[in-house]
Amino acid sequence: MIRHMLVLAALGASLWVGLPLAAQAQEEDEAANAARWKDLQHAIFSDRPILDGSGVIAIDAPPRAMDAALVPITLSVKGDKAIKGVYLVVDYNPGPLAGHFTFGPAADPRVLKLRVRINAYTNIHAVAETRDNQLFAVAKFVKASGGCSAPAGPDDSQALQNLGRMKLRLLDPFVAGKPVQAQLMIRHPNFNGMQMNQVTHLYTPARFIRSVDVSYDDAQVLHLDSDISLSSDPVISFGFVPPQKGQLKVVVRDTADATFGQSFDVPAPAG
Amino acid sequence: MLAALSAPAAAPAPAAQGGAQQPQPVAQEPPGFWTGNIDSPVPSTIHGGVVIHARELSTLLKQGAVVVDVSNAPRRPEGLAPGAPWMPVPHSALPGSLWIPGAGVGSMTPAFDAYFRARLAQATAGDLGRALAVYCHDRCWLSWNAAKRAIGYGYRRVYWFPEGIEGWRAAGLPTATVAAQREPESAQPPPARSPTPQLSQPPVPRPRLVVLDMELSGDLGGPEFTAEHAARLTMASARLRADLARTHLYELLDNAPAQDLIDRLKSQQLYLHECNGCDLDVGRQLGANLVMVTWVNRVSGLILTLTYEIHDVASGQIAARKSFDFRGDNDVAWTHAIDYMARDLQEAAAAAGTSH
Repeated sequence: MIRHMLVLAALGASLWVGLPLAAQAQEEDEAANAARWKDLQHAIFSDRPILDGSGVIAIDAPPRAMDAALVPITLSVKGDKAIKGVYLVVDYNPGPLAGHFTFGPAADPRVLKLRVRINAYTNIHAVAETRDNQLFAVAKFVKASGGCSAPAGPDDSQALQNLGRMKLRLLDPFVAGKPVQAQLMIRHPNFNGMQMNQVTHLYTPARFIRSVDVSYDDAQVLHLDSDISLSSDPVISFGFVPPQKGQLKVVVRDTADATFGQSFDVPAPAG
Repeated sequence: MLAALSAPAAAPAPAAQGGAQQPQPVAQEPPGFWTGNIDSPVPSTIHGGVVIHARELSTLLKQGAVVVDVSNAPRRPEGLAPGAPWMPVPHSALPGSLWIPGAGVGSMTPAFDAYFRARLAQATAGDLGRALAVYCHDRCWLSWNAAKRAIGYGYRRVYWFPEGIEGWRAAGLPTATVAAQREPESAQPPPARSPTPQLSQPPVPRPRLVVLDMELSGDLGGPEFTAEHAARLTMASARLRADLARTHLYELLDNAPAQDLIDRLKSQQLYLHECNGCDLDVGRQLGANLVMVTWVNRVSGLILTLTYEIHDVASGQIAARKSFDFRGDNDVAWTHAIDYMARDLQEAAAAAGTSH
């Protein structure tokens, strides 16, 4: 419905000769953005109804990103609905579903942070799914374009050094039974298969993280299905609730079927 | 100034990752094509061409300029999860754009170069005086390289539009959906195969390279030069290997285990650099990823050209090729040319590896 109204608005604008070009282009862009989101709703959510998510979830991203390969995104769950998972959609990326987080019993879903690649000026949608299977979406427009192609990082062999190595940092002091934010850093180039070595003319084969599983003493914290939109050397922040001292376990799988696992003591041993 | 721009203290955490907006740095024009990171600051000029902005370009297009978009086309990555959506958006471009992905890379195969030249000739009806505008994205070297290439082809009115599609949109100018020009089979870059990353065995080793002995073609100068040239080729081949070893770009393989094969091929072929892929047999026997053939074409005792080609063993394609003209058929000139070539390879690789 909204899409149709915008298309009509855009048509009207182009017929009205007196309208400044910039405004006309903007209206056309908005119509195109709405049409794209409609397509994505179909592809990702099978046309399930999606409700206005203000009050349920918020998305924070810089309006103009410094580096299109590393656009920081913060997803914050608001209100008191029980949240099952969060989808992050970068509308104009060719692989638009950047990530799908699902939360386990040990999660504190209130804040998620990650960094994504963005191909073009685009809307970003955060879609929260409640435990009763309702979808709530919010959008934010981001101006970023490394659009050339995802930037070539350091050379391939260098980028693959320490592959799968992880670090974990607790951002809050540990108190048993209280939520704590953790920042997880994973060494992985997340090659998207579009980076060409200009000297050899060879594309670096795609190799990217497909999933991340986090658990605390065998209770699930979260599962992330990810994609080429995740930045290289991903940094992901999330919350969890440690009932007592224990171990946070992270398992990362990539498209080369490599599995990387690491366990971290919580709280981290002193020194 | 920066203090005035910085975010208030209450700003959420992402500010810490971004920091204050800095003025965009400007790069110097490189002497040749840019082989470094394509998504990095670009120069403010292009030698032999004109930098143009959105409004002027809009006027120029109305006057019949040919406009070429050299943005990359998205490629579906292998390994995408079966249910994951892959939905590249229709390519939005300046109306009437000729979209030729790949025409802006720093170094291209001779086949692609010939294709790009022919496609421009077709679009301009062979008129080197026709205005030609080239763009891709904001802050993207591909358009600079492609414009530079067009200048090299002899076009006299080449306009480079560095603001790209983003700048065009920001000026409120209309766009249109275009489809990529289909490149001929022979001009396509080789498939992405070598070197195969080893599963869970980081780091990936350097490509395994076989360096075949240098060869001499062209006007050999007569029988009195035969002994001199044989000695020079031996010296030059050793020099080449030593220079390449110093670059640490490759794992250089010992040819000795394949010497019988090499000898047999040499008895059957005039040149191994031009033997319909027989050099790949040597590469396979030695377990190499790449084979390098190098030859000097002697036009006269004064004018010579040193050329190398690196062949990908798995695909049989030319992975890299470059020629260097030099003067003087003597040990000093040859050595100088080989050293230069090795340095050039290393600099190109270093530039390609430059990160943000």
